[in-house]
Amino acid sequence: MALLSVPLVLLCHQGQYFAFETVQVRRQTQTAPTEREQACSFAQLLDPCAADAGGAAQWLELAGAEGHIWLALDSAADLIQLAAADIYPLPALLHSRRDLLALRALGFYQGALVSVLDARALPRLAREPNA
Amino acid sequence: MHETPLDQLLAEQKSQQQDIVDVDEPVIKLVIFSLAEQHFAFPSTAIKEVLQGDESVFFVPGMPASVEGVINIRGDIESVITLHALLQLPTSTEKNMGLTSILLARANDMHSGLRVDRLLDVVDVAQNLIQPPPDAFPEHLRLYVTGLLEFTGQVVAVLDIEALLSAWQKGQG
Repeated sequence: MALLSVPLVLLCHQGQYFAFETVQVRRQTQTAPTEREQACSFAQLLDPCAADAGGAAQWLELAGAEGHIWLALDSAADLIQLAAADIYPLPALLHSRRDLLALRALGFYQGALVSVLDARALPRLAREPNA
Repeated sequence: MHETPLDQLLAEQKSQQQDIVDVDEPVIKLVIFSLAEQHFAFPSTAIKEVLQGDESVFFVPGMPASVEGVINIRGDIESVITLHALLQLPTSTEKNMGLTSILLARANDMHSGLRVDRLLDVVDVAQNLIQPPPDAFPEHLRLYVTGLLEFTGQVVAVLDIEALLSAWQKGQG
């Protein structure tokens, strides 16, 4: 039976939309994790050199390939259902040049582009927050 | 019998026709465009479609600067890249003037939209008018240029789409 839609956890960062599959998200909480070595801010995920702004509004606990990862978010993430027809594999040329190794697919949600990330590719990107 | 003026005219025309040698020269259709005030061309076989250039391009985070984004074309998405960096050309400002186009290019299993500053023409050109690049041709262009021709007084460099996309895929530009 063909998959009609995919449940995603959608988050917005600096005007750009990103999402993880819900099966890769263990929980969302406002409580900072105690295991800081497994945590990074979303800004640092995109750019390891980015400064940690601190004061995360939400934390996502993700199921990575090598254990769980905590991701600090500026704002709360939403649960959405994205139609399969609105999800596309990353074009081959872009896949070969992507800096964000976790970038797996692209989708369109309410007219905006959503970068669908794979939590299993995150451990190599995770950095200890500067704070 | 004296030759009449008409006889003479027809004889001259016949002579002129015989002077025209039908070489049946093979032609190649080229898509000619400009990038940073320089003229380039792709064989039309490399270009699947030419878009007007005003399509909505969605920014994709985590990509090199030469990636403009992706476009949605009739239900499929396609990357849009610029070749300025790969060809070591200055970034153009023509996009703001609404003159640009997007060429949907393909080579083997690679394909992408290419932002060009201006689509100039699509013409049939005799292949013998395309000359190989001279020895003094810039090294960084030699990798991608298969030939040169003159078009409306300008030198046009014919580009190898496969070489370009392969180099870009490998991290250049």
